[in-house]
Amino acid sequence: MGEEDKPRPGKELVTLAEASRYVAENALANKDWSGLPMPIPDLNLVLEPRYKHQDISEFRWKECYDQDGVRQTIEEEPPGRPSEYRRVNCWWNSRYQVTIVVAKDKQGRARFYPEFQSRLAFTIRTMDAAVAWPIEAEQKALKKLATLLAPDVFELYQLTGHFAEISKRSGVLYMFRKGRPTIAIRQTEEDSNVLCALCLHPIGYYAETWAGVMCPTDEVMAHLLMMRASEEKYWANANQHPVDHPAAGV
Amino acid sequence: MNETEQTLPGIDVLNTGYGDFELRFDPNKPDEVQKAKETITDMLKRGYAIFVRQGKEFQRVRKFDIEKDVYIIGSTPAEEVPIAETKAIAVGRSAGG
Repeated sequence: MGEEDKPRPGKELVTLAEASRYVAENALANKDWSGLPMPIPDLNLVLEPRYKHQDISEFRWKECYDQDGVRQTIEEEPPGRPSEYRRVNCWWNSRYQVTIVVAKDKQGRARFYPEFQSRLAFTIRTMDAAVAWPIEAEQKALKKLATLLAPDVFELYQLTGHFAEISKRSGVLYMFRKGRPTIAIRQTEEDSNVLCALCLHPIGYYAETWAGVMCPTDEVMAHLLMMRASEEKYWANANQHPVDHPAAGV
Repeated sequence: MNETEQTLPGIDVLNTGYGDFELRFDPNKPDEVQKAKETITDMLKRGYAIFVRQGKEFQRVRKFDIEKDVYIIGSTPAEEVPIAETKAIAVGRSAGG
């Protein structure tokens, strides 16, 4: 598409991906070198706590246009009644495949309840998030990733969306995956032990999805560089999900 | 800094709208070098992780020496990478998901 064919946000209808590109172009003037995260209807944006534009996570779209150009109002679910209980702890129960949550009220009375998360729901919400990724961004990220990998490894990534690399420092094998957390595996001569799934997103991500605010291959590149150059920081910054947890994406 | 010449040094920044935004500078043009130095300083101040290749390995930049125009990746002079000799990759602050 030539420059003159590009839709002009504010004057013409644009997709979220086009808006993302437009916003990123304009953000450079303000030294936002990474662009800006794009809010998506019905998905909650979670930003890195020190990221300066925290207010973007509060932004809500009020209306949109459907494929026929008809204006639609985006209804937001009214907030539920505030609970007197506050979540104080939670853990994953592998046997029952649920998260057990413990909550306490002001008097210190505790209660617990199971919280169910579904892999299918994660998958569907991740697909919803893809509307904010410009395809040109993914194509450019692929070109960049190709410069960081051996040709056969990059081919494997193109074919399957996965590749593996063993850390020279720790000997841990990392399985990098497009649009999913990275799996860390400790291999011995006898067997392999899956350590966890490492979930890390530059700038932020959409809650209860595997989607970050950057296109999937940018995220793979961020994981790969962190692993190669700063493995301890990679582990410190990433969330470590049990591999059978839905958030692990296995 | 401009977004064109592939052979020039600079920084590739992972970017929401572009995928990979290339900031290049000509080491022979003082104004471009100055702008590059300001950009690197600003990025590190904002918590960006900057990675440079040293030999076959990638290293994370710990500091930037604005007087010597070098990325500092360790504590010895051998662990310095001149900005004019490398294409760095920068990643914004990252959150666990």
